[in-house]
Formats: sequence, structure tokens, C-alpha cells
Amino acid sequence: MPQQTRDKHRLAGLSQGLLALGLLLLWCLLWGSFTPLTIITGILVSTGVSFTFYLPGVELSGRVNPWRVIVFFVVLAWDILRASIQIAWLAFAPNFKPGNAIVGIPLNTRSDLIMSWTSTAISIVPGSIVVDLDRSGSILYVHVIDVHSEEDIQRFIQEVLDTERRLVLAIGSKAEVVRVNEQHALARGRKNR
Amino acid sequence: MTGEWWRDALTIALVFAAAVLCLAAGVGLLRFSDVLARLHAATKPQVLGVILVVADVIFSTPTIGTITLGFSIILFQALTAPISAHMVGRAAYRTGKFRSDVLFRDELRGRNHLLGLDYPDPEDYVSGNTVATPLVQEAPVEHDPVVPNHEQTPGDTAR
Repeated sequence: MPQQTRDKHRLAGLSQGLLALGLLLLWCLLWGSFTPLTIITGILVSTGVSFTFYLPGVELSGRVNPWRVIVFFVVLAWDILRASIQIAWLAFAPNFKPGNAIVGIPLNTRSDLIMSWTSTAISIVPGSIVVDLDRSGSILYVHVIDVHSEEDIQRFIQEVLDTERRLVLAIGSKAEVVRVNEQHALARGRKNR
Repeated sequence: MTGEWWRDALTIALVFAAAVLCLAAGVGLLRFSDVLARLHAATKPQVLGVILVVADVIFSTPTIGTITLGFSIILFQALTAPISAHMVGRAAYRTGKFRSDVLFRDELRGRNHLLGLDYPDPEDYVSGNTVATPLVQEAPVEHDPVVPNHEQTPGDTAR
């Protein structure tokens, strides 16, 4: 048990450090240079910000799969491109018939981080906005545009669950990976039957 | 000279595509049915449009300054647009400012009490009945013989 709490403290400290490092990187990006002056002022500003605007430590899983992270971002970029064109076409389509839906999607994850990243990811992709969410049950209530049938809704739910799975495979904990893979296998079996 | 030629062509293509996307956002803002649908048009194609314009700036003047600034612009656009859309959408839903007749399905209806809200059901706003109906249904409790005392204290969570 003490080992576990020590691990937890270590992870919390690590997440604070990562946050400060991210702020430093952002500072350098905004100045557009990586000179010693920007780096030193960046360190000062990021430590100042992390102490004055103190946030509760994010629960990191402590596991990152770089290849899966790349896969996640490539698929995300492709989704943005595809869906932007779809929405743009929808705006111009002459025989456009409104048909929207608010769908409650129960996610498999129990991690706040994965949940918020999943909702951000599906919100960047045009065609879906997270209207509300139930944190205790990990349910996202998503407004989807241009759905007219049950199949459309099922396809959309599957897309969201796939996004979640890609994220969990990239940065989720081992237990989450196992759970998501089980659910994925179940869903696949249901589809093939 | 030949190098400049394809650079100009790329600029034309990217800026044109971005302009078309922004135009689509404007048209969608006019044509879509209600707040929730218009949010899609207002926030999404514009993100890709900004990405394309920034990509063009990066391609035409590839210095470290523009590349880093471009990446931070894309990062902030991609992070803030969904969150502002979410906040506006949530406010619109909770105050009933949307058309429920164009919704193929609404699984959030009647869930306000699950989300711990004191708002009446959006349907009441739509029908013009803005007097808040009590969300905690008292009527079944009165007919329930198992629970004689229905005036429990709020902190009492016994079931």
C-alpha cells in the first residue's frame, strides 16, 4: 500500500512537472525563439503560473505508447478533413433536410483525463458537439448533425468508441487497455454474428 | 523561378479552400435549423480553414518564428473552439433554446435531475410553460405505503 501511494505522489509530481514543461514550450513557441533568454524567462513564468494558478494534479496513467499517439493524431487530422468537407457540403446542399440527434454514449473508460480528451477530440471533428456529460457514469451526451436513421446513430456511436479506444491505447493505463480491448472484441463479435 | 511557381499555386489552392470553408460556415449559420446545429457550422469548418491558412503561411515563409507561432495558433484554435461550442451548446440546451422537432432522438431529455440541475425540463420552455415544475416528484411518494414519512431532510440518503 505505501508503495502505491508513493507511486501516486510520484505521478502527481510528474504531472505538475509536465504541465510546467508544456507552459515553457508554449512560451518559447509564442516568442518564436529558443534562446537562453526566452528559456530562462519561460522557466520563471511557468513556475510562477503553476504556483499561483494551482490545479489539482491530473491522474496520469504513467504509460505512453508513442506509435499509438501518432496513430491517434493522424486519424484525428483525417477525421477533421473529412468531416469539415462534409459539413461544408451540407451547408450548400440544395435538398438539405434537418435531422439531428442528441445521443448518450456510455464510454468504457473511468479516467477523467481520457474522458475529457475524448470529448475534445470528438468536438474538434465537425458534426458532433458534446452538449453535456455525466461524469459519474462516463456518459457523453453528443449532439450529432445530419442523422436520419438508427444505423446512422449506431455508426456514430461506434466512431466515438473507436476514438476512445485509440486514446486509451495511446495514453491509458494497462487496466483500461484491457477493458477497452474486451469491449472492442465484444462489439466486433456482435457485428459478425 | 520554377520554385516560385509551385509555391504560388500552393498558396492559391490553400487560401481558396480556406475561403470556401469560411463561406460554408457563414451559409450554414444561415441555413441550419437551431442553435445546436448552427454551432456546428460556426465552429468547425472554420478550424480547418484556419489550419489551411496557417499552413500556407508556414509554407511560404518557413522560418522558425512563423512555424512555432503557426503551431501555437493551431493548438489554441483546436483546443478552444470545441470548448466554447460545448459551453454555448450546454447553455442553449439547459435553457431550452433549441428546436426539439428537428431532433431525431434526444437521450438527454428529462435527464436534468440526473445532472443535478434545478432547471425545469426544456420541453416546458418550448411549450411556453416557464413555471418551474418540481423535479422531485412528490406524488408517487404520497401513494406509497412503504414510506410513510416523505418529508425527509435533504441530507438523508437512506433508500
